[in-house]
Amino acid sequence: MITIENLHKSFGGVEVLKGASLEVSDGEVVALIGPSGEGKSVFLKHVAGLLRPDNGRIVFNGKDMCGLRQTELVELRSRFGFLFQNGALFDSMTVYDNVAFPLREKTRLSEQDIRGRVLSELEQVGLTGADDKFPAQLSGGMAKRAALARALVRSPEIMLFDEPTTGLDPIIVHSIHALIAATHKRLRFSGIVVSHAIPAIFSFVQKVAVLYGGVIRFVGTPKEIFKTDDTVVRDFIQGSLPADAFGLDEHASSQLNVKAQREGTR
Amino acid sequence: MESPADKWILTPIRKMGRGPLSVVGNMGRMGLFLGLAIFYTFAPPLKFFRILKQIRFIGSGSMFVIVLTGAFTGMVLGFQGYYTLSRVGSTAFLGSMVALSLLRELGPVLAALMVTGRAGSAVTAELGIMRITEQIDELEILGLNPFRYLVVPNLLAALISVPLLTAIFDVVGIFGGYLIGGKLLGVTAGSYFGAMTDYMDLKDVLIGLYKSICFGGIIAWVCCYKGYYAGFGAEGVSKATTQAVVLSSILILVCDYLLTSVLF
Repeated sequence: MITIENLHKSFGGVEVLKGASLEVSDGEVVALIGPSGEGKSVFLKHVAGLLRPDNGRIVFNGKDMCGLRQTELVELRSRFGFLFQNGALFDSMTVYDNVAFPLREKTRLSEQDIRGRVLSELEQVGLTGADDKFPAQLSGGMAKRAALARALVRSPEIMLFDEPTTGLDPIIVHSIHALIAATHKRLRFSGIVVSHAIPAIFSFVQKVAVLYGGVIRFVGTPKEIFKTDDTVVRDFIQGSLPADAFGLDEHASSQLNVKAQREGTR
Repeated sequence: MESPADKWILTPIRKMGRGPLSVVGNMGRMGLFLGLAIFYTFAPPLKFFRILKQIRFIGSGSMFVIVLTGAFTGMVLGFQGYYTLSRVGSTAFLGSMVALSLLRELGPVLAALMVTGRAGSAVTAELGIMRITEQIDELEILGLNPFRYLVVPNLLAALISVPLLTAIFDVVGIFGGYLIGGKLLGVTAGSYFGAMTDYMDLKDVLIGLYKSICFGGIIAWVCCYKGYYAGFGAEGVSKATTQAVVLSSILILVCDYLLTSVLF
């Protein structure tokens, strides 16, 4: 279980996080949504221990991650998986070497065992046959899937996804979501997914958290978010629908909102 | 609302202080970076494959440019030395003059500057791109130490490669000087190489060696630091690369002066 308490973080005098708190139970996946520039990725990097908070605590299985020594933090981090927004694949390595890298560096498996694990993981994410390609030769969706394979190859207890579907077409978005849902079913990790794919993201998460104004403004199930009385959250959810983005008229917009609400409460 | 005292007294003082504070802060961070790099150099395990790869890149990859600049520097020294010495009728000392100039000063400094331009800038750009594409963060997430993977191999490779490149620069330069002095201007091989052995001792070689080791360390330190903490986007990487080359070059020249005055 991860508990994030009262997280504060400033960059150059600008306070990005102003006391954000969130709890993620074992085996639970939380969607972290909110307007762009609110600090969702910053929040996620704190959970991964990549950033240190100015104030606040991140407790993982009873241990305060902010108080750990570097060696303890490194040890703890090896139980985490992180899918970066752009995949962060090592561009000088092939897909195979990227996925094999954590196993080669952090385990004592033989090269034959590593090969088996890597090929199986690549098969799970639908990248069979792409193992000898370099990241520059992959499409956006393939790069995300390769990065997901690398993140999952060590069966992490905690998975953090930083906008896993940004910049992808709707079909790939659907396939990435299905992939995350399937791997969650298989590995039962706890996770946080930062996403703008509303309402599609609600289909496989257990909880939704809204980061707004530097704090977690709402936490609840996907059903509850559509019934909230908080007008800011409601406006955000409705404004997040594609209607506004595509300049549809009021009627079309409201139709889409109704449809989204139905999907969310299903 | 800003009071007149704030506007006319405190704000200018704050602005004046911001620059020096930023410089001191950066120096502190650079010092800490160097300390960590040295710590992880002596804390096993070392990544031998990466060290070899970087030796190949920094050392072997810089050979062509080092040989070329060494040859031309030696040839210029041959001409200039002959011209100067002929004024006082001592052209027989051309060999020792060329060798001393190269071994003690020009070899270490010019070789280091060439390595900074060719390999140091590339190291900064590579680390900078790894930083902005979150590959360094990914290493941390995988529970791997980026210093061990990225900084230590470059530091060790530079410490090994730069002295060797300097030695090659010196040898090529000495033969370049001979090509001009001996083959073109008529100084005999015996006089050229004889003067060299008569008027030089081990100390001159060691001074060049100490300098080149220091310069290798400076190149790796500054170039890795600038890449590791590169700013955002392509502009951040480009700025980091420029700063790395400029700062390394300045530090090499300052360090050269300090070492020359200490080891004189």
